[in-house]
Amino acid sequence: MVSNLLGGKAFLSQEKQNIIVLATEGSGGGDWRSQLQPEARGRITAKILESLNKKLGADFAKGLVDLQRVSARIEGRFFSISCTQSDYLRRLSLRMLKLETEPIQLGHQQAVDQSSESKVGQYPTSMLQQQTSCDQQSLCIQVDTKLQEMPPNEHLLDQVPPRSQKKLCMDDRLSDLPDTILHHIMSLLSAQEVARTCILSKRWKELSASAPCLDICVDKFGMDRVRFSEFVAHLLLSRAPNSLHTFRLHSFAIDHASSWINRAIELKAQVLEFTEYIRWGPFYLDPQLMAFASQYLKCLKLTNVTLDSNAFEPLNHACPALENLQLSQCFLEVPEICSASLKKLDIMECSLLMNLQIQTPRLVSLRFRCLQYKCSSCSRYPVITAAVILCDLLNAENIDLSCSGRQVTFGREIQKFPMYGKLTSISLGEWCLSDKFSRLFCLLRHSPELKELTLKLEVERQDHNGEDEIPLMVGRSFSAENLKKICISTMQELSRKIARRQSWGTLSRFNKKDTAVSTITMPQEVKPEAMAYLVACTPIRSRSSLCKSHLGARLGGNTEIGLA
Amino acid sequence: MASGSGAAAAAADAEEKESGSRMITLTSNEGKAFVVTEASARQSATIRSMVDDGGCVDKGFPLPNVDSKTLARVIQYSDEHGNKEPHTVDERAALAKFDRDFIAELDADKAFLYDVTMAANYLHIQGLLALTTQCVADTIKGKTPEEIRTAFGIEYDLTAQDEKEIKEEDTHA
Repeated sequence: MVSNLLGGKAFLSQEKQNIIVLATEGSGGGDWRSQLQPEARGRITAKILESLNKKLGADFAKGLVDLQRVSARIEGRFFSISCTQSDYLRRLSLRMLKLETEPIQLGHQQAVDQSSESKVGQYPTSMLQQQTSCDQQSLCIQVDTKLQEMPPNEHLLDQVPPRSQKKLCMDDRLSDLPDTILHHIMSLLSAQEVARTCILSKRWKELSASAPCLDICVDKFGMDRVRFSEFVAHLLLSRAPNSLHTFRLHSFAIDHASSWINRAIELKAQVLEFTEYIRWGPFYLDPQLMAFASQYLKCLKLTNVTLDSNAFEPLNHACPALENLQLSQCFLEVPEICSASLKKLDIMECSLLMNLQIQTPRLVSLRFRCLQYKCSSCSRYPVITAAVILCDLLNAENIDLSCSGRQVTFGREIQKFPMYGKLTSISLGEWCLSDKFSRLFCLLRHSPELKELTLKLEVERQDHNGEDEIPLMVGRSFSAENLKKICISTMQELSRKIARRQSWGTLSRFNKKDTAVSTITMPQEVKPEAMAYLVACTPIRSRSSLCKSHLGARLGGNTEIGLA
Repeated sequence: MASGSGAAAAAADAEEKESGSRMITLTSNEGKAFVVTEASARQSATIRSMVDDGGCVDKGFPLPNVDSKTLARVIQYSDEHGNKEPHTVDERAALAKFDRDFIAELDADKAFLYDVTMAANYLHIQGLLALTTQCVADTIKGKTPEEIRTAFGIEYDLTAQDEKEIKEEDTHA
């Protein structure tokens, strides 16, 4: 059996059939998970492992002691996120197909890095040319080394110049700069480059040992994960306590990474960034190996990780300094974000595995972007429609919820105050128009200070079909006295549709009171009628402050509209 | 008390209205005066906090750590970034081009580059500091230690003891 399972697609369909046969008895909905036999899952895990091995090549796979766990995790992920058995199989087949057909891109990425580096290299070239002595020679050396990173096994001391060579033709003004500036410069270099500067001179030896920023990327080590692991482990172990400020780690399927993050937290890092290799499955942050609890952590950015509630919990209650949290392309199994100190929260293209409640009293800026709707066969992650519940955000000034498919609802805790008392700018997606604009109105009703409203209606949805007219809802008024700018960006076709349906009519209520909307930007495709409608709703006294457009004559007076 | 704070608020309001057109004098360590718009001067967090604290805007700001040549160049940067606020894609591209040309010119004269870096650090002009430090970092990137020493004129002064320490470290790494 194993021997005829080796050929990519053929295997997939065959395997699929087998499993379907295994579980057809109860596949008419219900709990498909309990009906799927463990041995079928085991077989799938083994298949994934095989594909991974094949893909990575024998040499590379040798270093991968955790490959077995990685494949089990990939399977487990799909098992938990799929809604039906066929969905589960579809996702698996897609993933396997991807593994079979796409080359792993580590090497490619590096090539890109180098080509951009060699462009940057034009600066030093021009500088070297100005030196009178030995410029031709060093130019040649430089061009050569541009093409290759430092060879892996070269020792630093090979770089020591002969003792005889002493004076150079220019003064060393760089080393005279204060530590803070030189450390700032070092923070722009990779940890390897920083480590290498220790051989420059006494001054640089001290500087590199105390560099407050460590930026370690597996890309810089080629495919050598073993060497990468040793480098990171040594660097973190040899650090003096209290010397670490920023720790950036770009890892690739190494389970140790959890404990490295823990080590960085022990070293009192204030800025912590972790990225799992993006073409790989999300990295599971293991609460057994690490805890985010820290008095010092201010900024945390995680990309392509799986966070469960156990791993996330300390961020809510044990990180009193945490101000900035950015989660990108993560799997979140987190019921709530309720940090009392958080000021900036970005949740970008994450998959929510359960409803997420956001209740952060000091939050100033919230950005929530979800995955764009792609054709379902090519999307990398499933779009899961768990809801986001926004509770009172008393200090929020900017909220960006311009995701398309996400359901956002609003919860209330404190009845006395408006939910979004300081909100000045908000960006909303398509979802706010559903259910007769009720969500939009809800938000506007609770945001008395709102100045800028942006509607991004970029993704065409089917919801609007059959709703040719949106009835005006009497009594659903709100005060948006400070609203100055409305920006509506839409896809061409959709905007026509909306324009035709006079949805803009509802916008008239932005100006129920005598407010002064001064800038309205809309895409050019919006029909003039719609724009006219909108402008006609604008109180006369504020029209003169709008900027001039071709519609001016048509509408009379000094009406002007900015076109985006 | 209440009337006093009201008057102060009114004064602050008037000041705010004025601030767009106010001019600020910066004096280099050679005593040369440079008159810039407030928007330009506000690129510097150091000056910004002094202005906001109600500092001596009329008397101007002496900058004992910055010479005329450096200050002129720093002002060239902060004028470009402070007086124009890029709105369109084209304007942003123009500003990016200005930065590229600006740094390319500085890169050709390393000593001057360090002076501008020091001034940007002293005046807390984040954008300019990022630009100059990135320039130095780019020069270090991808070079062997010997090439770095040549590029910046760094003198090798490690003792045998230092080398031994580095060797020990290196075997771990």
